[in-house]
Amino acid sequence: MIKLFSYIIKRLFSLIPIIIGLSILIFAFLYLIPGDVARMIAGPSATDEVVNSIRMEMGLNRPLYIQYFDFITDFLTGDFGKSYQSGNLIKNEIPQVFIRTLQLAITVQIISFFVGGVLGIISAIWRKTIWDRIIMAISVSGLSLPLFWSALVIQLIFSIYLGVLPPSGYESGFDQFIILPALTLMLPNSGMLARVTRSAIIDVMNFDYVRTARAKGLNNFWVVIKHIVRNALIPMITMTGTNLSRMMGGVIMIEIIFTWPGMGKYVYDALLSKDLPALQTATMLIAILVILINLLVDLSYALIDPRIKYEE
Amino acid sequence: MKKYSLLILVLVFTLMLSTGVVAQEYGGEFTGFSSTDPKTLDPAAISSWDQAVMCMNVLEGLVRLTPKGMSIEPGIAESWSASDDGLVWTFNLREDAYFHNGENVTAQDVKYSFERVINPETKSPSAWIFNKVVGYDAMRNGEADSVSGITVVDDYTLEIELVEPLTPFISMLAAPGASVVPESAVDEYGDQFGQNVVSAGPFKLEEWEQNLQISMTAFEDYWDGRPYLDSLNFKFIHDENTRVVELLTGNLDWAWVTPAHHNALTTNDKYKDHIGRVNTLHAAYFIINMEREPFGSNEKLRKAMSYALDTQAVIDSLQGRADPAVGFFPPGFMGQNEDAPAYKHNVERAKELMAEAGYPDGMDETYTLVSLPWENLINILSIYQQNLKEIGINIELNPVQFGQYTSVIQEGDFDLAYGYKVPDYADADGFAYPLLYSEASGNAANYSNPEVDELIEEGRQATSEEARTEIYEEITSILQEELPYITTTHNIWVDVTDPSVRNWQPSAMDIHMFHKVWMEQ
Repeated sequence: MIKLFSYIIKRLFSLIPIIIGLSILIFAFLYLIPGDVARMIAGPSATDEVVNSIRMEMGLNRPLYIQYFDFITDFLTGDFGKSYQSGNLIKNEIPQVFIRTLQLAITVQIISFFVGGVLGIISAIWRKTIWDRIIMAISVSGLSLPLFWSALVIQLIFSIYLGVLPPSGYESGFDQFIILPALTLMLPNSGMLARVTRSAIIDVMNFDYVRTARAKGLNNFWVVIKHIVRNALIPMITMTGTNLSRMMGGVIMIEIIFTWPGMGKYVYDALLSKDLPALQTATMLIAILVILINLLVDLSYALIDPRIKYEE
Repeated sequence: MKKYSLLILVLVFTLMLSTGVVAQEYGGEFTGFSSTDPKTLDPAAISSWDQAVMCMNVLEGLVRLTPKGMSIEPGIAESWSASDDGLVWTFNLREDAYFHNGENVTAQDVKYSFERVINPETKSPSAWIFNKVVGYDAMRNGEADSVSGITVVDDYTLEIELVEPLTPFISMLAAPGASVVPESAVDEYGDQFGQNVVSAGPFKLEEWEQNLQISMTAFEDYWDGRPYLDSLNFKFIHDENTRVVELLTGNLDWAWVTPAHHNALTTNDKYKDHIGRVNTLHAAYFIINMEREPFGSNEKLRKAMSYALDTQAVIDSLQGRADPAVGFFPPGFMGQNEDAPAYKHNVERAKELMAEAGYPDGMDETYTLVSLPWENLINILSIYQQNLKEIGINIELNPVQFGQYTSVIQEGDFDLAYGYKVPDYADADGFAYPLLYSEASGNAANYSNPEVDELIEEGRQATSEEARTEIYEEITSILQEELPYITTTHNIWVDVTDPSVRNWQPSAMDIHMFHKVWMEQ
């Protein structure tokens, strides 16, 4: 346990250079976006004096390295500044949109984990049967259909033809509004997971201990559940972790189509209006979160597989 | 007697039903859309069109745009007049205009609101509205803390003195930036005023769920009578298709008709009679950088371009949702000049002009056309690209994001660009001044013609309608010769409302007003 703890500490320290590197990249990329921020904020009819005074006030006329240094110190002290667009403090705006994305992302991942997992297990047990073929065909379609297309079809079916669910919107998170975006996102996520699970299980099936278990007279189903799934969990969790961190940036298109006002929509709006403080803060937070999710995934291996020890 | 009155009532009712006359009804909740959260409705802070629709249903200025959007009508000012030399404007305010917080609107409030926008500390993008007011510069430079040209004569009389006559000034006052707000509310909310805006418009702000929707309710004491609707909501829905789906499921009462849904909606029994259309004051055009060779210096080349463009093909590709442009000014504005040269699609004539321009075999070099990156726009530009290729002008499309686009245009770093304009105020000057005046910052073509400058100045100073019409017609005929902008089309806005919505009038300026809209219950 102490070893695990020191491993975590070590990993956390090793994140520092990564985060510094990321912050430089993010800062540089955002400043490379073409267009004059001050002019955009001032609006097309504004005079040059207004534009200049905005530039001065925002400190956009200072040398780049000073601007970067300010950005990083402010970020570390939790002073994210004000959004250019709304004039509100960013630290008040982000938690709200972040939670909405989290609600969607976690719901999708939990459902996909079980749906994809079960489908993958069924496919593996009855591999090369018609069931396997059908499930794999569905999974491949699920992950190859473009998201915007499946979103439109799902909206059409459930909101217009059946008229049972609202086509878009957000109320409290876990209500009828989450169903359609979650369903759309579930398609590729569970498709991917079904395939990963299937191949992981097929790999494990050929190991000696599985043969031994079968020889003991256990039926196929119990062998899979007790001996194989546990070993197949590692690739499944890795996949789920990757999917989750991919979604934390907000699946922009889905948030826009379903009017889910989360992180993706926030970043998108900020990008369109060149709202640099909001954009920088949001991207930094997402980047840090992705790193943390990856760390959690690594740590979870030890819990699943006792053979994995985080030793020197 | 009682018996008869009942009989009459029944008769009147039957008559009303049989003739289809339905009295306007109060009540109802209208849910519209906006593509994004406006973030602020503070008149001093707003800068984009997305905000204007929501703003103008809450805000009120001395004058307001008509629902059709082509002209202005009285707002808080009951009447106004300009002195003979056009320098002093006197506004008579109505006594029954109230702010949403119950305070009576006085001339002092108007002065306060205008000075707040002019005040350099406010950093308002709308300060330009007042740049011809006496004392504007002094306040902008920090030499004065009020504007000497704005005088409160009494509670309901305001005088504004200008440094030079400016006829379109009255139209400029309909802009959101010239709305009136009470000082007490600005002080009360401070930084948060934009999210809690108080003004004197037909609706008052009720609730603002960030990134989700804005709800407004009818303002009972609106000077022009309370709106028919009880409440007006704007949901923030960015995706055009989602808006139509929301309308079809009954969650929205109004949506812009997307190209994909156009044919289905306009033939659908439920919706075909509820399609709103308006010829907007929008104009789309090629911008020629007049300071760059060869397009800027070769008039024949520009004329050849104009003849080459097959605008009808573009209009067909837009499902007929645009009109071909015949001159510089959109129809509905002054400056419609039938005698000015028009350039109907004519490839033969275009080729002749290419030869006259010195390019009998076409141009060797390929030129870049800068534009915004919208998918629909790129489809349109590909048609024009083909048209120009036919006469030997090779252009390459260079779509860039909005921010970069504005910088490129501002810095004049382009040969050809494609742009569009919706005027900031409903007057021909709203096109002429920003696009053509040598000194104007919106003059994307870097066009400079002393004669046109002079005409623009005259147009701003002339007061009679005839004189102004003549001036703008003259400008049109010069422009159609010199072609710093090759105007292609004027958009037609097409929207759809729920069948219960009545008296809907989309606005030519894209500022849709809701105070006269009502819903059948």
